[in-house]
Parts: sequence; C-alpha cells; structure tokens
Amino acid sequence: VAEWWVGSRAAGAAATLPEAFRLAAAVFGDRLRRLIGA
Amino acid sequence: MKDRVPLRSAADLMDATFHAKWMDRESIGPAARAALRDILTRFATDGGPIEIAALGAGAASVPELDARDLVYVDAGRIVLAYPWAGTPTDFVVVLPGGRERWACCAIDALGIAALRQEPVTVRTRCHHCGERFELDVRPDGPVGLPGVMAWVGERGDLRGKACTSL
Repeated sequence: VAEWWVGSRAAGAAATLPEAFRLAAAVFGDRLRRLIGA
Repeated sequence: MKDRVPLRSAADLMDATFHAKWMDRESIGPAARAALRDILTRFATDGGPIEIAALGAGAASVPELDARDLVYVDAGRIVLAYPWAGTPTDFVVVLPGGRERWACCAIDALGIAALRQEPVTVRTRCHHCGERFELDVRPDGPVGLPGVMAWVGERGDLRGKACTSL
C-alpha cells in the first residue's frame, strides 16, 4: 500500500495532519498575510 | 503505513528553496501587494476566475504576481490565486455562512482558516479509498481526524493543477 500511496502521486512526501497544517499556517497564515498586509 | 511512507515535517518542507521563493515574493511593491489583496478577497467573496480587466488599476500588477507564482493567468483571466482555485478541484472549502470555494490543493485548503482567521470546513476525498469526508479547520488547526495524512507534492511545472491530497 505504501508503494502505491507514493507511486500514484506527483513527486513529494507525506506529512501528518498537524505537520501539514503547520506548513499551511506558515504559508498562508504568516507569509501571505504579511505580504498582503492583512 | 506511517512506518513505510517517508514522512516530512513542516520544518523539512520549508527548506532553502521555500524560503528563497518567499523572499523573492516579498520583494513586490505596495501596488502589487494591494492588487493581490484585492484578488484574494474577490476569490473569497465572488469566486473565480477573475477577469483581469475587472481589477482596474490593479491589473497592471498581475504580470508581476504571475511571474512570482502568486497567481496563475490564462486567457486574460486569473484562474487561481493561492490558496483559491477558480475551477473545480477535489478540495471544497465551506466558509462561514455556507459559501463554497475551491482550494488549489490539500495544503491550500488547510491554510484558508489561518489566512482568513475564521473556521472553515474542508470537503474532500481520501486518496487511498476514495471515501468522501469533511474536516473542520480552525485558525489554530484542524479539529479531529488525527489519523489523516497529507501528501505534499512538488508543484514544479504543475501550476494550475491540484497536486496534493489527503
């Protein structure tokens, strides 16, 4: 299953939900908000 | 499966390339920042795609935003402005009040609550089994479903396409 999970997608990596949210919050809640002066 | 699939942390994923890309984006001037703010608001309020001509003075900044991968332009329209997609994806984000919008990918869908500082519901499907599910996300993080994993794909030349999944 793991092989399929990786092979059936674009190149990349898996992340747990909390880690995925940390990335999302850094991008959109921090960097993008600062960029647009929110 | 967690033991066999390579896992990355947020810190791993925010590598030197990530920081360099954002430093480049942060070099845009006040006019481009204001235009991007207007574009993101329009996607949330009215949905997309957005006709560039409808942006007024902000239209002049769109090529700069496109060059820095902050928006994606096709045939005179802004078809996506991260995190929003103007065409259907597997990630429907339900905003307070019930408005439904599309997010470009899983990470973008997860980030909308933090961007807007309000709770949202993400509707998507499992990449493994195809089952549809909902995930409530608050500005400080997702609620429940601790076993969900995200796939963070490399965008590369795939701009305009959803390339991550849950």
